Amino acid sequence: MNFSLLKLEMATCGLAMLVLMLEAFVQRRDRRFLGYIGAAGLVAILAWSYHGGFVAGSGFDGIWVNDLTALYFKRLFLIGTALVLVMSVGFARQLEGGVGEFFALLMFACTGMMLTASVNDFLMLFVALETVTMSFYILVAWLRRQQQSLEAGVKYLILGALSSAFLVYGITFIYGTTGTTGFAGVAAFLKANAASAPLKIGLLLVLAGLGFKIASVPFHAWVPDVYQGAPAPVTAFLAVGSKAAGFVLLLRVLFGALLPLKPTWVLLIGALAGLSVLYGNLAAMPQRNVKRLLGYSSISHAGFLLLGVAAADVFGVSAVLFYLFAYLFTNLCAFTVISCLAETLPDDERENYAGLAQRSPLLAAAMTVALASLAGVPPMAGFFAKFLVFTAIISQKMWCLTIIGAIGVVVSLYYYLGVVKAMYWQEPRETGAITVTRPMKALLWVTMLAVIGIGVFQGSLTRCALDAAATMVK
Amino acid sequence: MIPVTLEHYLIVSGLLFSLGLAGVMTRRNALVVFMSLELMLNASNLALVAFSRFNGNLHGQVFVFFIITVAAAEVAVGLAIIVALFRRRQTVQVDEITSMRL
Repeated sequence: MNFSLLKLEMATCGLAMLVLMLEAFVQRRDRRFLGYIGAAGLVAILAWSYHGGFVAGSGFDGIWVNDLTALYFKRLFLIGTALVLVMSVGFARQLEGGVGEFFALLMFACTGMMLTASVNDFLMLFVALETVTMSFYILVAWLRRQQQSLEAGVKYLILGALSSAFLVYGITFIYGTTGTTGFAGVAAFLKANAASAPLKIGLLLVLAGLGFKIASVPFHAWVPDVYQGAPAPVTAFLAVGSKAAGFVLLLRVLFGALLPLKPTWVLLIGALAGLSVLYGNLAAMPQRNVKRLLGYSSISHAGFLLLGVAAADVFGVSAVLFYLFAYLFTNLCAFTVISCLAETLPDDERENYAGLAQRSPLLAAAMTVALASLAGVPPMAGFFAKFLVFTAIISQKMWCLTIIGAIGVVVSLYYYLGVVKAMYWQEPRETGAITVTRPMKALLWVTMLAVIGIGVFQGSLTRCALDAAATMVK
Repeated sequence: MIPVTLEHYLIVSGLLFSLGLAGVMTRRNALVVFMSLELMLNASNLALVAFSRFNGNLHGQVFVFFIITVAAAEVAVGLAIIVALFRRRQTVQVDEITSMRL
């Protein structure tokens, strides 16, 4: 038992409990500043991961692996959670009571996500995934006086529990046929024997459970309602954290346990990718609610990410890793704007965004940068991420998927630019400047600069993604 | 008396799982839906214990402990959310919670 492999996770979990306890000693009106303590702590843990906090190797009877991929994702989760915490401080006035618990749950979810990054066993996969999902059940339903938040909570709960039930039943059959739950053991079994029908069913059920987490078609039914109903910082965290956690698990399962079945799952993932891109983009077109629109956009981005997985080589996987980082900053930028507007606007309908540029140039600019990046307009981070994905699938000669992806990109321009058009070229319904608090301003600038910065200077992040992908795809 | 084989356990487990799934699909009361979900998890538990016995190792039984723990946590969180919904809406019928539509 080498517990030093778990140092970063233990520190994150400890930080969450510290914030939870500190809440008892802090005045009610000052409690929201606990979010800054959390964010600062996560940044410290991030710095620690560069200086000894991360111990490479595997342990605990092979269920746990700390490699470069794990490190890449752990840093992604730490950065994302720190930014979401700052966003939540700006949003805190609308979170009724117990903000300390809200911050702590964000960090518990972060701990779960960091666990998913190192998963090398189906039992560990289940526990890590449930740690994340359970925290999100509570976070989504947090605004318990608002009907939409509760409805979103119930829908997420029922569909989430259903997907866990499928996942567990799938793992049961994998264990029953192979006699082991370790990824290495399953891979060895698949190499030596042909996959029997129960094993295939088990693997499909596991992929269905993971498909739910990454919000791909046909497991996307929960996405629009939950994205619309959940508090804005939680929606942001769902979009960037939960999705990335789903993707790291998917990559670990596909390139760990299912490597011998690669020719089969490439077809399956390719089909899911194409369907997600088409459905997400087409269904987003008539949407009027900006959060709901971003929900459908999230389905389409799951499709683009799956395109990278379907390429199934080092370049494809590194494109996925890069994409997730670009998507993190882009989405956080968009949802920071939505959080800022949540107090002023009656709801997130697109009509309310009309003339935003006159009421707050900064918010309109940030939203434009985020939407341009989501649509893949150069020089934003989203453009280069899509560029990498398309390069990967073209080099694999997957022409059909390339065309579907291209159609998706063109369609997405329509609805993203619809919001931009409303912000800049329509008359506002109400006048009066919208004030943005200082921490939110800082967050807007950080995410905006990161989106543009990653898009312009892609070199170092691409290298990190390539190194991480090379450890996974051998 | 016929000997009890792995198949018998798996058939019962499959029946439980299908019953649970049918309950989730057809029932409209959130509490009954939630109950059916627990049934699906228990179907896995039964199959895992049976597989563990016939595979000759204990991994499956250990897994069952984790599933029971997670299911308990899920019930705690889930019932709290359903109670909060009932306080707000005076209903737990899932087809009546449709405020978000295009």
